[in-house]
Amino acid sequence: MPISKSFSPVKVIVLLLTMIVLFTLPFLVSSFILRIATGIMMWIGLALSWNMLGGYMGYISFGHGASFGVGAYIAGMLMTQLHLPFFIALIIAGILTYIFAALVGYPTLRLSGSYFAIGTWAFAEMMRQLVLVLSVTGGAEGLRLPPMLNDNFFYFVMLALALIVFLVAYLFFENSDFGLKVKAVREEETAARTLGLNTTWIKNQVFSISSMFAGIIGGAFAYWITFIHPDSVLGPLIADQMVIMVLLGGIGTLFGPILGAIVLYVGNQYMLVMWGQSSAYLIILGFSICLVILFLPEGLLSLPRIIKRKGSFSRLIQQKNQVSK
Amino acid sequence: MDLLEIKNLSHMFGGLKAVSSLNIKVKAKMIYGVIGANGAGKTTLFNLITGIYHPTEGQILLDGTSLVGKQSFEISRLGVARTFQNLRLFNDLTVVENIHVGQIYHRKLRKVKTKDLKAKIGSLLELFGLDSRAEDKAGNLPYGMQRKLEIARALATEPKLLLLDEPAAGMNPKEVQGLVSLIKEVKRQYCDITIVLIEHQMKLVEGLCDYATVMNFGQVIANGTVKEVQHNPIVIKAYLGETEVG
Amino acid sequence: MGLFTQTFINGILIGGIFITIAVGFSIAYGVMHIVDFAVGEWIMLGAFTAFWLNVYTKIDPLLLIPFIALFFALIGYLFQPVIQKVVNIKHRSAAMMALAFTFGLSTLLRGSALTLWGFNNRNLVTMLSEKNINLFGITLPAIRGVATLFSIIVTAAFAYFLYRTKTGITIRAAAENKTVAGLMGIDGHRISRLVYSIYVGLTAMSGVFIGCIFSVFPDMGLRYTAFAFFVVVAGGMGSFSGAIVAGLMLGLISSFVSVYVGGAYVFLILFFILYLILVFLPKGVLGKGW
Repeated sequence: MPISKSFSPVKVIVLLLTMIVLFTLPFLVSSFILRIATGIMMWIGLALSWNMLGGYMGYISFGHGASFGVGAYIAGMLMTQLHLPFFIALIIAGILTYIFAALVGYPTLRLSGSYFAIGTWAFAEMMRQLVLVLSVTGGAEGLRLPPMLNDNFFYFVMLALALIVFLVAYLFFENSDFGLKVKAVREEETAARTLGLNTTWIKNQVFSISSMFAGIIGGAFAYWITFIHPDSVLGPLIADQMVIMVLLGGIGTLFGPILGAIVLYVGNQYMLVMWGQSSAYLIILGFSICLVILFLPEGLLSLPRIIKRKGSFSRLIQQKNQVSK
Repeated sequence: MDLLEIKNLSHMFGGLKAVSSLNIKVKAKMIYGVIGANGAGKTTLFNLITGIYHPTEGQILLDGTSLVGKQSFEISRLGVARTFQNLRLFNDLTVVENIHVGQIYHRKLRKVKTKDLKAKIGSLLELFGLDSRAEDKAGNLPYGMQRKLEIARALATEPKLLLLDEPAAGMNPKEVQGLVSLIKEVKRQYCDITIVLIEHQMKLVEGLCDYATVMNFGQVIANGTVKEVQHNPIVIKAYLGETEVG
Repeated sequence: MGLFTQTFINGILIGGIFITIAVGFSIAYGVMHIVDFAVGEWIMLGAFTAFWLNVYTKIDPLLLIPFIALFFALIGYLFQPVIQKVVNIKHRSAAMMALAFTFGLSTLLRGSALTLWGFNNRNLVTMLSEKNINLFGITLPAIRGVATLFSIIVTAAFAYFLYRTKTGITIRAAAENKTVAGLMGIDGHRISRLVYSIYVGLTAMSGVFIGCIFSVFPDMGLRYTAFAFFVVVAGGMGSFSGAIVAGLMLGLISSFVSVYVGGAYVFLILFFILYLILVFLPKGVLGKGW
C-alpha cells in the first residue's frame, strides 16, 4: 500500500501526533515500558531492512542475522580494543558491514530462490561458528563492551535508526524509480535485464544497504546490552524473527514489517513476563509462520481487504437468495 | 544498410546443436519475419541476440557493433528490445509501472523530463488500447492486453531493433487482425524502427513482413521475400513433407 | 591400527546414513519442489520416539525401527495435504512460501521438543551399544556397522524401487516433469503423498541410528538439516549417484576434521564448503543436479 501523494489534513495530524509521542515517550512512561519501546524500535528497523531484500526484491534470506551479528561484533571490538567512542564505532561498523555484504553478495546473489535461502542460512551459521573459534572476538566467552546505562539514550538511538531505515524504505524503495527497478528484479529478472536494467548491480546494492542497516542496528544493540555472544547476536533466532515479523505483517509493503515487528515483539515480551524464558516461544513462532503462510500469505495488513471482500461476497449471496424467492 | 547482421551463428546446449551456421541480414527499417516450426531454434536466436545466451560460434552485428559476449542490459542499451514467447510481465506492477520500467534507464541516459515521460506513456497507452486499465496490475489483465503491454513496454525503451517472439500466440483470428494493424501503426509512428518477428502463423507474416527467413532444425533453409520463401520447394518440403509434393 | 584408517572407516560408515537421508530428501524435493527445512527435525523426532518407547516398553531401539519407519510414514502421509496446500498457493513467491513454511514447521517442532523434553542430552542405548566388530584387523563400533549395513540395504531397495518398478518410474517421471507426467495419466497428488510419506519414514528411521551412535537432544535437528542440505547440494539436487558421493564426502570430512582439527571446527568447515559448492558448483560436485 503506497502512501498516496495527496496531503490530506488527517494524515498530517496523525503524523505530527505520532512524532510528538515518539519523541516525548521517555518522559511519559516507566523505564520498563521505555525499554520495550526501545526493543520495538530496534526490531522495526531490522524488519524494514530485511524487507528491502526479501520483500521488495524477493530474495528471501534466512541469514540476515549474520549482518546484525557482524555489525555488533565490529562495533564491539572497535570499542573494546581500539577504545573508539560509540558513534564513531557505529559508523565504521556500518561501513564495514556494507563492504562485507558487497563482497559476500557478489557470489551469493547469483543463487536464486531456495538456493539463495539455503546459502544465506549456511553462511550465517558459518559466521557464528567462526566467531566461536576466534579469540579476537572473545570466542565462546563472548565480548564485554564498556557499560552505558542510560535508557533514554538508547531509546533515542534506536528511534533514530528506525526512522532512518523507514525514510530510506519510503523514499528509495516504496515510491521511486529505484524501487521500481528493485521490484522488477523480483518479478522478472531476465526481462528486466532486456530493458536495460543492470540487475547484478541493483541486487548487490540492495543486499549491501539492507545488510548495512542491520549491522548498524547490531552495533547499537551491542552497546545497549553490553555483553554479546555468538549465540545471542549470530544465532538463528535473530534471522528467524526478522523473517516472521515481515511475513506476519505483510511482505513487500512499507507498514507490514512495522506491524509485524510490533505484534511479535510485544507478544514475545508478554510471554517473557508471564512465563519467563521459555522455549514455548519457539512453538508460537513456528506456528505463526505456518498459519500466516497457509491462511494469510499477504500478512496482517491484507486482513481489512480480505474481510471487505468476504463481506461484499456474502452480501451478494444474500441478494441472490432474495431475488430467487 | 544492414541493421542486424548474423554471421555463421552457432550455439550448443551440451551436446545438442540448437542453431548452426545461421546467416541472416536484416536491413534497417524493414519488418522481417523468422518462420519455423516449434523447436526450429527461433527463440534461441532471439536469446542469442539479446545476450541471454552467449553463442559458441559466430557473429552478431548491430549497426556494425558486435553484440557477442555482451550482457543483456548492455545490448538493450545499444537499442535492442524484445518480447517473450511466454510473457514475462511484471505481474505485481501496474500497466503504467511496467511501461515506465522500460523508460528508466533511457531517462537517465537522455535526461528526459518527467512531463515528457508521462506523455510518452500516455501515447503508448492510447496506441495499444490500454488506457482504461492503466492502474491495474499487469497480472490481472486479460491475455490479449498482456501481450500488447509487453510490446508497449519494449517500445518504451525507444529501440532501434524490436524483436517480437510469437506476438500472436494464443490469439483468435480477430485479435490477430488487430495485432497486424497495431504493428503497422507502430511502424508508422516509429518510422526508423526495425522489427523482427518470430511467427509460425503465415497470415501474420504475409500481412506484415517484407522479408523472411525460414528455419528448420536450427538451420536457415531459406531467405528472401515472403513470396519467395513461400514458394521455395525446400520450405514446402520441410513444412508439408515429401509425400504431399508430387 | 592407525588413527587415519580408523577415522576413514568411521567417516565412510557415517556417510552411509547421510546418504539415506539425502536420497529421501532429494526425491521429496524433486516431486514436490520444496526444500524441507524440517528434515533435521524428523531425524530428531525419530530418535526421541525411539528413546521414549524404549523407556516405556524396554524394547531395544533397533527392534523398534520398523515400527518407527511405518509410524512416521503414516504421519507423513497424513500431513502431506497441508504441504500440498502450501505448494499450491498462488503467490508471486510460491516456492519461497513453501520454504518458509517448512522453516516455520522446523521451529515449531524444535520448540515443542525443547518444551516437552528439556535441553539435556539423552542416550539411546541398544544391545549393540558397547560392542565392537573386528573385521580384517579393523575395529568397528557395532552400531555404526549395523547402521551402515542397514542404510545400504534400504538405499539399494529404494533404488530398485525407483528404477525397476512401475510405481518407481512414475515417481521419477513426476519428479522430472509433473505437468507432462500428469498428461500421461500419472496422478501427481497420489505420487506426492506416497513420496512424502516414504521420505518422512526413511528420515525418522535414520534418526534412530543417529540417536544410537551420537546422542539425542532437541536441538540436534539443526545440524542434520545442514548435513542434508550439504549432501543434496554437493551431490546435486535429485541425483542419486551424487547423493552417494556427497554422503561419503560429508562423512569423511566430518570424521577427519573432528579427529585432526577439533570438533568445534567441524561445522565451520562444513558450512564453508557447502557455501563454496553452492556458489561455484551449483549443479553439485558431479554436475548432475537440477
